[in-house]
Amino acid sequence: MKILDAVYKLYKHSLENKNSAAEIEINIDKDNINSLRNAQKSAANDTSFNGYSSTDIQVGSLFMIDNLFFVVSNTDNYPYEVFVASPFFELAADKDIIVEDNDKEKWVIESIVRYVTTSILEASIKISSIDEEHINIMKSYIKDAKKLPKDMVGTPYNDFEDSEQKQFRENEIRRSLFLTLENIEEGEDITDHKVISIKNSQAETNIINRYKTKMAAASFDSFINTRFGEMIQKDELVTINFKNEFVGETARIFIDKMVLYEGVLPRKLDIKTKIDKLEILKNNLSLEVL
Amino acid sequence: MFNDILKSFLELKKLQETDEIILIKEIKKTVYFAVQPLKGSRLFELYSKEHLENEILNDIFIKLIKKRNVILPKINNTNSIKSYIKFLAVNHIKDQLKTHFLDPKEMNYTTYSTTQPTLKTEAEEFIDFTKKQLSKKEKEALCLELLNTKPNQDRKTAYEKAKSRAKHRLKNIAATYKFSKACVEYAVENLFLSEICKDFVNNIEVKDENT
Repeated sequence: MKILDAVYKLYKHSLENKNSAAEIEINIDKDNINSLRNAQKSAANDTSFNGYSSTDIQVGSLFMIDNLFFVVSNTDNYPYEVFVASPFFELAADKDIIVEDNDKEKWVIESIVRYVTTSILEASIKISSIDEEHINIMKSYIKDAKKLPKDMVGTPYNDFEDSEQKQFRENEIRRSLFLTLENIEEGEDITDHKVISIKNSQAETNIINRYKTKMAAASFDSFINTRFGEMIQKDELVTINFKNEFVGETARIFIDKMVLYEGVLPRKLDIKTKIDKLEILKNNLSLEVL
Repeated sequence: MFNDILKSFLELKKLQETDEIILIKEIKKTVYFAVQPLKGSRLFELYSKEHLENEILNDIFIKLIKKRNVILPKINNTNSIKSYIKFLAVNHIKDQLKTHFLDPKEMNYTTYSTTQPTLKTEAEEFIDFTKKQLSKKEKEALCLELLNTKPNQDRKTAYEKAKSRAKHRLKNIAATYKFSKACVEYAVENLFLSEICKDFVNNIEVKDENT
């Protein structure tokens, strides 16, 4: 679509950092000076200004570092969890939500989770705030696989088409990766073994309900090979032994669209679950290397 | 130097003319590079580059003052400040691009090139978004309304809900991508039946024959 093409080109250009001033001549005229002075005059009677804005880290705080934006989603743990955001809301897909900030400017909150440390926040500028209610909507989508409100999402796209939304999303994932890597530098090494759980989660319940009849017919195989490694099941524990090419990679594992795990892949990952058919679990698991 | 001058500007202090020029030049440099991708676009057909740059500059001055409470705490972080100024410029350009891309009525036709898209072209863009964003039920409800056909009594509640959601969704699409009212009206009157309703038209005709 032409409008998306134009907006996407502007987005790509905005990421470039060509700014060698010595090569260009900048002309200033009287109108420019008057504009500058008028902007100050417009604020002279502004009684709403009450000093510096708080730089406290709160859920909903919207930050900018270089040309990347993120909104704080959780401050319970450190590093702080954030969602990648962008003013290019026109490029939002149906996995993202379009919201307004407290200045009534539109943003897309993307379903891309990252983590930030205080050093990142110190280098960032807090530019606005987004309602915590909107942050909770995205949290529910990512963690509990709850559907996003249809009147808030962007335009859907198919994975096989090279749409502007798809390219935008892939680009945002790639260029925000340094935020996750920051987390890893502060202590997360490649480990041999990690344990996580989807037991009693909404995603698990959804799968069990959806595959009620199929569960009975599904194979009792306790060992399955996948593209990323072998999966072995014993009782309520499924173990993934990752292939060498995946060990140490930063990746995200989804279970029924919910993010089950994000970080550096260990050699062995144990997953606690009540889904007792490996075949069903395998069909609802996907892995995205970041 | 730039940071100190910007700080004084944001604190509403009177600047020396030499400082004003330094501040304007620095911001205008950012605007210059931000405007580059517009070469070849309709905006450059309508306005001179100088006019566009000055308009964006003016907008940036006002926004910097409005947001001085968030900028001042970071005034010593040059990279952050310059990135923020660039963000303001790009956002302004994006709005202008959408507005003038999709609303021929706002344009000055005397300066218009011969390659201008028609209202039909804009409406086709709108239809593309509609096809992707409306569910099957929502499309069907809109089509029933267009064809002045009522659903069966047992489907009436679901139909009304789907119709209401569809209309809300159309409004959202128009607002997000800045499609003009004229464009949406054109799309509904001239393109909906052939592009959106073709899957439902035959079914609806069959039902009518049976009642």
